[in-house]
Order: sequence, then C-alpha cells, then structure tokens
Amino acid sequence: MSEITSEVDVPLYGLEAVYKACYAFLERAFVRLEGEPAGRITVRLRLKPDAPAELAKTLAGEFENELLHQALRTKVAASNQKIREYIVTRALASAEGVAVGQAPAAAAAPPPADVLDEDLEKEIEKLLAEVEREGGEDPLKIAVPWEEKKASGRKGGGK
Amino acid sequence: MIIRFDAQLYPRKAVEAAARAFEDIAPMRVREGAGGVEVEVQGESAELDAACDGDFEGEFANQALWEAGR
Repeated sequence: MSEITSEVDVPLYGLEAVYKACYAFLERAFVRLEGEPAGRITVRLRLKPDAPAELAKTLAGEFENELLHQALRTKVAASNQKIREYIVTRALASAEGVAVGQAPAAAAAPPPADVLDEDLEKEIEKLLAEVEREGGEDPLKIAVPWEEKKASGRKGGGK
Repeated sequence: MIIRFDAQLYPRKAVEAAARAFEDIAPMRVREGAGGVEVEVQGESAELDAACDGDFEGEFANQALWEAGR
C-alpha cells in the first residue's frame, strides 16, 4: 500500500488549513497527523485499497496543492467574515420585521421589544455600524429589495 | 489493539467521539497516556479489519481526525 509523508510548516499554512486539507483525502487515504501544532506537523497519507492506483504518483503533489488551496480559503473566509455576518444579520433583522431597504443605520433602529432581546439588538446595532464604517456601500445594489428593483425596471420598460 | 494519538492534534474529546462511532464494532476504552490519547480496542485485529473494509486502525484514525477538526 502506497504511503507518503509530508512535513507541514503550521505557522505558514495554519492548523485549520491542515485539517481541512486532510479532510479532502479521507475518502481516498488513511491520514495520520504527528508533531507540534505550533511548529511542524508530519502528515502521513496511506492510500486505501480501493483508491485509484495512479493516485500514488500524484498524492504528495495533490496534498500540497490542497493545503495551499485551503490556506487561501481560510484567509478569504476570515477577510469576508464581517460582510457575511452583516448579510446574515440583515436577513434575520428583515425576517424579524425590520424594514428591508432602509439604510444600515436606519435598519438598526430598535425593533419591537418583544421580537429581539436587548443583547441581540445591541449586537446587531454594533455590527451594522461597523460594516457601515468599514465600507458598507452597496455598489452592486445587493441590499436593494427585489420589489424596488422590479419597480424601477418597469418604469424603464414602459410596456 | 491499542491505537495512540498525539493529544495536541487529537484532543481526547475527538477520540472519544470516534470511539462512540465505532462502538458497535468492538468494545473500546479511551484513556490518556504519556503525551497522548490511547484507545484500547478489544478484539482480534483481523476481525476488526474485516468489519472496516480492511483497515480498522486507518478508518478509526480518519474518524478521529474528522472529529478533531470540527
């Protein structure tokens, strides 16, 4: 059975990326990790008996590519975290009765007292203020409600 | 059979969760040893392997890894 070992510099890629890269191979290989999470980790990949034989030749390279890919994904996910939180917060706030299409600051106006508790309300207010401060513009008009977009389309269509 | 894991990469909780996932195959016990987490599995290696498509230890380690990163 074919086995490869790969030495991974954890501070370079991040431990999360290492785990995620390993996950991608769980179907095709048995994976073991050894070493120091703050330093270097040895990843052992042993092909499963039913894995394609040609994979043995490319396993090491594929793992290293996956590692890089996951490191990038983790980095992108971290940099997009604020906007994702904003979108979810906005969606939840809309579902709970805060009008969609208001400017973020206006959307943060206190919802009915029986809908959101005080802590959640403060958290939403804080997130919306942060997003607005850090570039909450909407150049692609993503936050424009569908009804408004459709209404403006009709005006232009004229039929 | 004893399977050993590095406790820094495979926390005890993850190994215990993996043990729960495999408990219908064989009785097993998780304990902390020197610098690691050990799983003591009762049963013959060949029988265990047969129950896991040929490699009990490999499948168990994959499960533990999955649990460790969750």
